[in-house]
Amino acid sequence: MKSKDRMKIVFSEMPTQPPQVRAKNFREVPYGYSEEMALQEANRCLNCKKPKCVEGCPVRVPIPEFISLIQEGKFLEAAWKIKERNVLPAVCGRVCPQESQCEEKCVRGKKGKPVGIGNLERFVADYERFSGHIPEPMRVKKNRKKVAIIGSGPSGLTTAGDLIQQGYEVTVYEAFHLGGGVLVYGIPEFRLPKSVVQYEIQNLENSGVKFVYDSVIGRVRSIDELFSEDGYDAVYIGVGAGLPVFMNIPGENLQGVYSANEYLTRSNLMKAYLYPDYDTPLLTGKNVVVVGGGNVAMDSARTALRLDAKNVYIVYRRSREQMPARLEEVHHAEEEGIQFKLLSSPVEIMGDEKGRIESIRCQRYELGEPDKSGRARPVPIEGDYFELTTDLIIIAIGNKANPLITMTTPDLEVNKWGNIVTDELGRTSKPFVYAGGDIVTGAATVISAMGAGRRSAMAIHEDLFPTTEEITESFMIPKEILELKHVAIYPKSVYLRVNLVNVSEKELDQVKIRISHVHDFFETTMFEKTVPQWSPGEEHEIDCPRIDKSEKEYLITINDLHGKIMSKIIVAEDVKK
Amino acid sequence: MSKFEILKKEEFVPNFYKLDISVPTIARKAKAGQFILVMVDERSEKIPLTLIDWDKEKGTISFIVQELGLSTSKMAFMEEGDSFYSIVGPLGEPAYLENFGTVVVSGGCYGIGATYPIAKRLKELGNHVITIIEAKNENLLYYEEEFKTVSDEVILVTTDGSKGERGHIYDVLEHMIESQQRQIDHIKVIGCNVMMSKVSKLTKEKGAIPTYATVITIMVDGTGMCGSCRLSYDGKTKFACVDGPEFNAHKIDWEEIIHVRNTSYISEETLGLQNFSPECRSLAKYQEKSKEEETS
Ligand SMILES: Cc1cc2nc3c(=O)[nH]c(=O)nc-3n(C[C@H](O)[C@H](O)[C@H](O)COP(=O)(O)OP(=O)(O)OC[C@H]3O[C@@H](n4cnc5c(N)ncnc54)[C@H](O)[C@@H]3O)c2cc1C
Ligand SMILES: Cc1cc2nc3c(=O)[nH]c(=O)nc-3n(C[C@H](O)[C@H](O)[C@H](O)COP(=O)(O)OP(=O)(O)OC[C@H]3O[C@@H](n4cnc5c(N)ncnc54)[C@H](O)[C@@H]3O)c2cc1C
Ligand code: SF4
Ligand code: FES
Repeated sequence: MKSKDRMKIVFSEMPTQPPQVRAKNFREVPYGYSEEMALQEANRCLNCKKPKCVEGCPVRVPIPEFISLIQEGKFLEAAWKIKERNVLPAVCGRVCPQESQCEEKCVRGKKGKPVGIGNLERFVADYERFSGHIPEPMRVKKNRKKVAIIGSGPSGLTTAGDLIQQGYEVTVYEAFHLGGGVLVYGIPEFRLPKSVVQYEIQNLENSGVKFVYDSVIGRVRSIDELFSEDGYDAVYIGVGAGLPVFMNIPGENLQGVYSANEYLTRSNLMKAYLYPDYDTPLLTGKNVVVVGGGNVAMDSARTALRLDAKNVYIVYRRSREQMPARLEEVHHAEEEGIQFKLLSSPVEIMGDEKGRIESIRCQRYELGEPDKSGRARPVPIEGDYFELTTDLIIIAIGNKANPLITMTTPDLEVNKWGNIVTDELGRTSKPFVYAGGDIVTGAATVISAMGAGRRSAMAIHEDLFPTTEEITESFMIPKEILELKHVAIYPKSVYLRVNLVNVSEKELDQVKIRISHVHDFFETTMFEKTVPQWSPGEEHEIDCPRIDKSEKEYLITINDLHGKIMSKIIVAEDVKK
Repeated sequence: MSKFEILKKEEFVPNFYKLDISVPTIARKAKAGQFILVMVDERSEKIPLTLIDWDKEKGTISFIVQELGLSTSKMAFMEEGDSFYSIVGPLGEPAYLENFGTVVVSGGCYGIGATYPIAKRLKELGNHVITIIEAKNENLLYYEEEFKTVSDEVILVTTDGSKGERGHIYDVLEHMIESQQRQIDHIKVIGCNVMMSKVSKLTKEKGAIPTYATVITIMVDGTGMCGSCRLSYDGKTKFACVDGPEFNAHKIDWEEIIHVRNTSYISEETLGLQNFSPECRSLAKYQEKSKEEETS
């Protein structure tokens, strides 16, 4: 098909349950693409030489490649292609903020709609799940090292998946009785069916990951005990950001005021939305006020609506454009009839003599000067207040780092917000302890938590099988394989003069060198090559024109002959010397 | 042996059950004053129960359940050999325990059992331990003998006077304080919030004797993630599950806990209990029924 023809194909709208119907049930809102729709949408992809979308994806899913496979009707292969970089495509296709990642960058978005990358990702992942093609667990040789993972959210699951494939014995400790983290206790069924999460956990179990539920690390076991008593060689902390922020306004402890965490945990994890079939109760309201403008606020509001609320208001301090929620969620919420009270913020909650809430008083705001982040700062308008009658208030203004682990592990360095401090690969101040996801970055996204998990898996492997030795002060490249003689950085390229050592000629095609940028925990590969034409003992210059000189850090990764990966970050300053 | 299996169950006074469960991980780490969160089956609520005894060697823990509403009734129907769906712990900070001198340890309802490990530890630490236990009537008093082994004095109180003193813990305490027979250095109180708040009020007025109470709040996760268990303490918000459950009683906003936070689900709870119909006399039957519902 010619590009011109591709340009003519119209966007396949995702079919959804009609708003009036879905506002009364907890079934998933979008139905998903049919095969025809998926083919049609895939054919809109121009298969760009320099795919912008890939730059937008934090884990660099090979987007044009997987979409090409869809064009050929190879749906399973397309799913596997994504899984090379992203182990939870069925989740990410549903919850990634595509509009500010891959789809924002898509060239077709310049005129009209970008390719529905998220929709396609979801389609192939679901296709694989329903195909019955249960992925064969890879047979890997055990390497006799044990790793404990704390928390079964997206970051913990990713680390577990990566490590089990490298032969580790992996155990995931989870505080709750079910795995998945926010994917099960936070995000509602109508947005992410729990069966999707369950399926992924089952796959991990099949491949040998052990899950130990009902275990609050810090209480039932300290991190030190995981090493000393249970004999773990490394520990990964992926405990998320579970500490609800309250507003500190009068009336916040009245009956009928929930943190979004409590409201959603009761509803999703404890299944209070099925009360009384399930025992956990949940207060319902006729006039519900949700404070906040993120995904958590949208999820709370839409849950309340499904539990028979007449009016659901979202009270948000800034403007609509500044809402951090996924575009699709705001759109769906609006269709379902959620009412937005923008540029306003609560100042007081009023109750009756029984301690039940009656109303909430809010102050109006206007947009002022931009703040440091460049967003217009909301400023309160003096004397401009309004009141909403309400019988249920849900506070969804954010989460901070839960201190349980750090409190019980005094030698773990945290910053002033209580987030664990780590290096680029998730190494904490404590040897062989790694951390990633929301506990490091603060509340962020599923995909960024997954990226962090993957990077820590790399670091764990590197630290537990240290095949590297320092050859110059600034770089540690495995001496047995490669010597770094000289590094020079030019405006559009980097030269590395390297010398392969101790490699026989017939092994040369197995050595792969990769140079990448490291950005927000993710890697962009700028150079990747096997070097069969080289001879041991020769020095070679690697010209790497895609290198962006403004970047400060470069990650050099070398696969050794046994498929092991070693990597090291080098910083521009070091390199100049 | 399956996970969380009931090794022993005993109804030692009407509506009060003691259960011994095998959970070696918890037994290994438990400290006096800590609690667990328990789910009977997949559909149950998570409810907090205090650890009253544990055996590191055998890997067992014990707790006492007072049959009140839906979850505790389900527990009452469980039998030896049945297993809980989920038990998480030990949770909360251990009780504040040191050699204070003379300590009054007081408990009512489930709190009689819950104060037992505390009295035991205080005694080990060299305190002079005076235990006061309260119940409605003689038939509901328990652990008298157990307390004798870990206390220097045991005082019994019943509301109707059928055994020991007539009245309440605070009546006995008031009398003790006023008679000035012995200086009290520290007081522990565990039981229902109303009783604890009254003790707190009394000891605050009568010379501000350090008093520590184990608050009862509604909980969900027990890790500080949800804020359900929040209370106002010394003008700040605290989470009972991670900062407590034991607090300096004089700094607790009892009004708020009793009249506002803990009455949130009154109507839901009654509905829950009605649905748990009396014909389901055993948990097994209850579970069968739920399965049938699912398949039909
Ligand atoms: C309601 C809601 C909606 C969201 N919607 C989106 C969305 O649409 N798109 C998106 O990209 N992101 C969304 N997010 C954010 C996203 O879910 C998080 O950024 C992501 O889940 C973080 O992953 P994590 O692995 O770091 O931690 P979590 O997912 O928080 O998982 C941490 C796990 O660790 C467990 N744990 C905690 N402490 C302990 C302990 N001491 N011992 C043992 N286990 C412990 C917890 O129980 C939990 O299971 C949403 C978040 C919420 C709350
Ligand atoms: C830290 C802590 C330790 C506890 N230790 C024990 C223990 O060792 N043994 C024990 O029997 N109980 C203990 N409790 C109380 C126990 O958790 C409640 O009795 C239980 O949650 C009631 O559950 P239910 O489903 O049976 O009753 P529900 O159906 O929830 O309620 C039935 C009745 O009990 C009242 N109620 C509800 N929740 C509570 C509550 N948290 N406390 C008191 N009354 C309540 C309701 O208003 C209602 O009238 C403890 C509570 C806390 C917070
Ligand atoms: S993982 Fe997320 S950002 Fe990456 S391609 Fe998929 S939807 Fe886009
Ligand atoms: S029970 Fe959820 S924060 Fe305490």
